[in-house]
Amino acid sequence: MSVTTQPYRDFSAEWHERMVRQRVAADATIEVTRRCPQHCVHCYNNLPAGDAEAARGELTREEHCRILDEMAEAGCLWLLYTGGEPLLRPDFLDIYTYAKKKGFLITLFTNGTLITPEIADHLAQWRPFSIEITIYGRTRETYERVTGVPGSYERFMRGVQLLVDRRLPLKLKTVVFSVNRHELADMQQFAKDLGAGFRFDAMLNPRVDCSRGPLAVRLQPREIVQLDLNDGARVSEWKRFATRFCGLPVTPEAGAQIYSCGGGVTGFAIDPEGKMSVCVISRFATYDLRRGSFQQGWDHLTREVRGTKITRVTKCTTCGIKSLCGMCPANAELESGDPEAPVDFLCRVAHLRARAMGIPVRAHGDCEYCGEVEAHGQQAVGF
Amino acid sequence: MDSKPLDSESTKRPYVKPEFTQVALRPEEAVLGGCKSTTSSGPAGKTCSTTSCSTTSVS
Repeated sequence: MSVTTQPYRDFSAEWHERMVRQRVAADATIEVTRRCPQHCVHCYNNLPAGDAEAARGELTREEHCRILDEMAEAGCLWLLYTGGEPLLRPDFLDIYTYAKKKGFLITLFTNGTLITPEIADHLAQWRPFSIEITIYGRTRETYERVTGVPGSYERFMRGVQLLVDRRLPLKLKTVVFSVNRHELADMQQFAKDLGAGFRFDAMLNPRVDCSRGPLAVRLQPREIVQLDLNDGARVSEWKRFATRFCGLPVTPEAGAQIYSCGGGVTGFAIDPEGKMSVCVISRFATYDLRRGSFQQGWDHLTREVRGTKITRVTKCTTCGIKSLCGMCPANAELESGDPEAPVDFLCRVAHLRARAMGIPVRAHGDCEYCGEVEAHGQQAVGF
Repeated sequence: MDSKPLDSESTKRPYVKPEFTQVALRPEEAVLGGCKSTTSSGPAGKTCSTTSCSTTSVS
């Protein structure tokens, strides 16, 4: 018997290519709860840890296991558990372990503050593919200014150390906004010192209930692009990405559909109450898994939701720099309630990013930012 | 006792040595991902780019 070893990168790419062709529900994101012990100012979906009504509405362990059985049957392999804070649920490790035994490749998003030696031991025994912890600041002051919870920094640091001690596959990440941006480099260095991967994102959006609270701390477009420019590797990656995806002709068929992302192609999300959607921020046309099977839900997403047509042409329809932009129907719904309305903030960031990195932007309708960038050049946008 | 062999020479398939491929699970090689799981467009996460877009979990 011969055994060959395939790099994960190749395996993932090969299987995703196959699953995209066959429309297999391969990539799951499950929010096990929206409750969280922290009260982060920028968060898009957290509810108080003691929200009894939210807890009552959450899928039970048995419902989770039934859905996992059906997901496995449908061919799902990649599973992301997120929240809220997943570890807030006392039965989370039972659900997690059931999923492990089913063979899912699991990524766990957590803030790390609830990790105990016992939980860390369990994760070491039932090893996830990856664990990602969000770091909100490198100092106690900043971290707790974000979370609003005294003592949370200590608990975060302890959680990280427990995972590091057990050599679990840890990555750190942060969301950058006005409260913590001055500590970005220190957070990056902390991850490096731990031997953990690191990534950041500065694109805040309104909360899933459409309240605009997080936008109060969102960075300005030029500040966001400046963060990209400060990081040589990030610039290279953006350029590589743009070379691959920007300027691709938009086919009439693709241009006629509201969704042009991977949601409902191989990806889907399930919220704490069992509502299935194309992604975690989309509350558009969900399917209730308490009333039907996973397969019925997937059929609903692939046929009904993905098949939704645009009702009008906007400047986004033929935009060649969509790949540089976070614009999508879900984001637009959160910003304005209209899934087709261009999001001014995202449009401005994408154009600034393209200009700053020398990525050509072809005309795409009545776009004020194309004109602004061309007329005023780099100086006007601060580069 | 009258018995026939299960496989005649003409229908027998050649033996093929079994091959196994194992995948080295290295999360640092994960490049695909869903909107709020990677939280942004472009290099941050690219599952969606499989169909031309941008935003996007981490697989």
